[in-house]
Amino acid sequence: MTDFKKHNPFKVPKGYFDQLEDQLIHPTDSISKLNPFSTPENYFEKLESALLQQTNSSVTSSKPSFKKIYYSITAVAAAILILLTLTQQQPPVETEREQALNEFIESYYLEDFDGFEVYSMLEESEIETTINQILKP
Amino acid sequence: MEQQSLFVNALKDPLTKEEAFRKLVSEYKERLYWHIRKLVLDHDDAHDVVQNTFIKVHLNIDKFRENSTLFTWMYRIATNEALNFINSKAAKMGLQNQEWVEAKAEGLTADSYFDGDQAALELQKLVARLPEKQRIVFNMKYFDDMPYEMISKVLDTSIGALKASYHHAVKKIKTELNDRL
Repeated sequence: MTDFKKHNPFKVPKGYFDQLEDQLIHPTDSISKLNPFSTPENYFEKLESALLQQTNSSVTSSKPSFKKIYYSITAVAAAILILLTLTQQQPPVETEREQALNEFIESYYLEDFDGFEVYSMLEESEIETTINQILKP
Repeated sequence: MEQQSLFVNALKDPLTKEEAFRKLVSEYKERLYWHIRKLVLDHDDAHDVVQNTFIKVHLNIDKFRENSTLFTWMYRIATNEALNFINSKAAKMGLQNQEWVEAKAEGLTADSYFDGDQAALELQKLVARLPEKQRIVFNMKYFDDMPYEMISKVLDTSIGALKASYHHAVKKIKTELNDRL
């Protein structure tokens, strides 16, 4: 009984399974597989020379010329100069200490404090500058 | 493969590069052109893409490590160039890639370099409506009779996935064609 069940009485044509996949996924024969596109006359002959010309010029242009290098360096130098000029022209940034001193002066009446208290908030160099400036005629 | 290595070496050697490249162009220009043409549909566009493809090949031959055949590598470059071309053209017109391709297929009736009959025209329109991957696979398998193994290498996709793509593409086209013709 087991042998009977295992035996397959059906047959398929020779090579059937090799072709089955193609037959299953192949579109109908009514659709022409011929190439419907065309090209201008002698296109491929002209294409070859055009391609060779193109690639030659691409090789030539891929080498950086002296002019290009010169202009690049000049452009970078100009950019650095402009950047430096702009940075120097900017007003000096107020430090936190200076800001605190200004706020202190704005918030309180100076007459309530003696000179020592005000001088304690300044650095030595600044005091000297102030004195020098006062001494100037 | 050994013959290919010799040829690739000739392409890399500055002394023999020009002559070898001439041979390469002569050997592959038509095959690459037709592959590209079926993707971009228009002759002038195909011409631009085939030129870009060969320029890329020329400029990058030193980077070719022979992990694949030269033909597969060139086909891959051609496919990418064609897809990039479609991408950029569609973006400039504010269209999706598929919309751009469909518009091109619609315009084939007025194209002097399209000789197909009504059935061929309908087929092109239907192929244009396929998703990008299915469209590429369909063109390579149906029109170029390229084996799945090679398509798999060009598109870097498994053979199973390619068979599925092709099967879906054929099914869609068959159904639509039966309704139209």
